[in-house]
Amino acid sequence: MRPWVFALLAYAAVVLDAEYAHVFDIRGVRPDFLVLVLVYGGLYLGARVVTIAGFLMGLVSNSAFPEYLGLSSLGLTIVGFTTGGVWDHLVKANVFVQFGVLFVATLLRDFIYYVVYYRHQMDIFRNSFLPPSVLGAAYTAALGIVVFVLARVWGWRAIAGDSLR
Amino acid sequence: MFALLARLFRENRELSAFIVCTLLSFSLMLLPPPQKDALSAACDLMVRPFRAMKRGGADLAGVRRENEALRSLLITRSEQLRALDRERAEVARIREVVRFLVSSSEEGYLEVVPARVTRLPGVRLSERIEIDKGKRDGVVTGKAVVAPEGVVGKVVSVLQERAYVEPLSAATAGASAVINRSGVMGIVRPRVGQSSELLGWNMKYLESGSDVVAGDEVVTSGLGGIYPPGLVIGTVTSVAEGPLELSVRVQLAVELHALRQVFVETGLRTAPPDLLDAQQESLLRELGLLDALPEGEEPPVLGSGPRTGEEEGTD
Repeated sequence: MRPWVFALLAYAAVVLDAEYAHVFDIRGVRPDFLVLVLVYGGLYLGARVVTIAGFLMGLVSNSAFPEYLGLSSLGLTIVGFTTGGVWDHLVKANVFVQFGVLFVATLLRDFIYYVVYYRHQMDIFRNSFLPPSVLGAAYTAALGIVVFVLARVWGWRAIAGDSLR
Repeated sequence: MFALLARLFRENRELSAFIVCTLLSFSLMLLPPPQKDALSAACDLMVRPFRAMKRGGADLAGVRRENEALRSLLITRSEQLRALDRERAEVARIREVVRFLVSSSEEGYLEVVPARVTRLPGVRLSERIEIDKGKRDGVVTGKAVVAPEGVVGKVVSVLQERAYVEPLSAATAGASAVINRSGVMGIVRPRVGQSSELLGWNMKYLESGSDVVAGDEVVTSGLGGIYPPGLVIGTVTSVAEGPLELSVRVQLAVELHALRQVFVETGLRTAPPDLLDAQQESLLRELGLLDALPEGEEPPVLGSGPRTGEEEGTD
C-alpha cells in the first residue's frame, strides 16, 4: 500500500467515523473505523507511519469535542505504535490473528479514552467501557474478517498471504 | 548530549515517533480551552464539508418525504374532486328531474314513472333504448317516453321488469309537431342517409311560405295519440324554401347518446295532485325550484309531471 493511499483511507475513516458511523449502528454498537485502518495500515507501512497517522487521525476526530482534544490522539498513537510493532512478531496473513489484533486494539483505544474521560468516576467507567466497548471491538474485528475475505478475492498478499495460490 | 539524543532518535525511529506523538497528545490535553477551541475549529475544517453534505442530504430526504406526502395528498384530493364532480353531476341531474316534475301544468297532470336507461342506442342511433321499468311498474306499449329536456320516443315492447323504447332516431319514428311560436303543424322525422346512418331530423309537410324561422321551438302537437301536446321536441336549425313545401331541419332537444334518466307516461290525472308535504317542500326550496312556480299555484306532488294539453296522441 502506498502512503498516499493509506492517507486517503485514513481521511475516509475519519469522515466515516465522524459523520456516517450511525449507518453501521447495530443496537448502539458501532465499529471503530480508525482502528481498522490503523491496524491494516501498520501491516503494510510499519509502526512509525501509523503512529504519526494515529496521532493526526485522533486530532481531527477529536475536533468535535475540544474539551478532550488530544485524548483520541493519545489513544490512537498508542494503538498505532503497538499494532504497528506487534505485526513483526505475528503471522500476519491469518484471519484469527487479524481478528485478535483488531479486537485488542479497539479495546485498548477505548480503554485509554474512557480511563482518562472517567478518571474520577471509575464505576461509570466500568459500566461505560465494558459492555459497549467489548461489543464494539467484536464488531470492528468482524469487519476485519470482511477485509480479509476481500483481500483474498482481490489478491492483497500482505493481508491474505499466500493462501490464494 | 544533543548529538546523542539525535543519534538515538535516528536509530529508533518508531520509538521516537511514538514519544513525540505521545508528548504532543499530552500537550494538547493541557492546552488552555481557548487554544483548544481554535485548534479544534481548524481541524474541523477537514470534516466540515462532509457534515454540510450530510445535512444537505438530510434536508433533501426531508424534501423528498414532504414531496411524497404532498403527492399522496394530491392523489387523495383528486379522487375527492372526482367524487365531488360525480356528485355534482348527479345533483344537476336530480335538479333537472325535480324541475321537470314540478313544472306547471295547464289542463292536467301527466302520470309518469321515472326509469333509468340501462342500454343506449348505438352509433346509428336507430336501435332501441332499454329502461329498467316494465309491466310491474305500469308501463304499457305505445306510451310516450320523455326526458327533462324533451321527447325521447315511445314504448314499443314491455317485459315484466324492463321495457324497450323506440327513440325518435329510429328510421320509422315520427312525432306530430307544431311550431310553438306560430302554431304551424307538421311531423318531425329522422333524416337517414344511404347507409341508414342518421343525419338529423326534418320537420315535414310544411307548406311553402309557412311562418317558420331558424330558432323556433318545436313541440308535440298532441295529434296522433302517442305524445301528449306541448312536450319539447327540439329547435329549428335551418329553413329552406322548396317548390311545394319548406325544408326544415330540426335539432332534437334530447341528447339520445347521453340519456340516463327518462319518464314513461302511464296515464293522465285531471285532478290536481296532493300538496307537497313539509319535507318535499323544504327540498324544493333548497333546490331553488319552488320559487319558480306561478304565484298561487300549489306545487304538485313528486312523481306527477305536466300536461299542457288534452290527452291525444300522435305518432
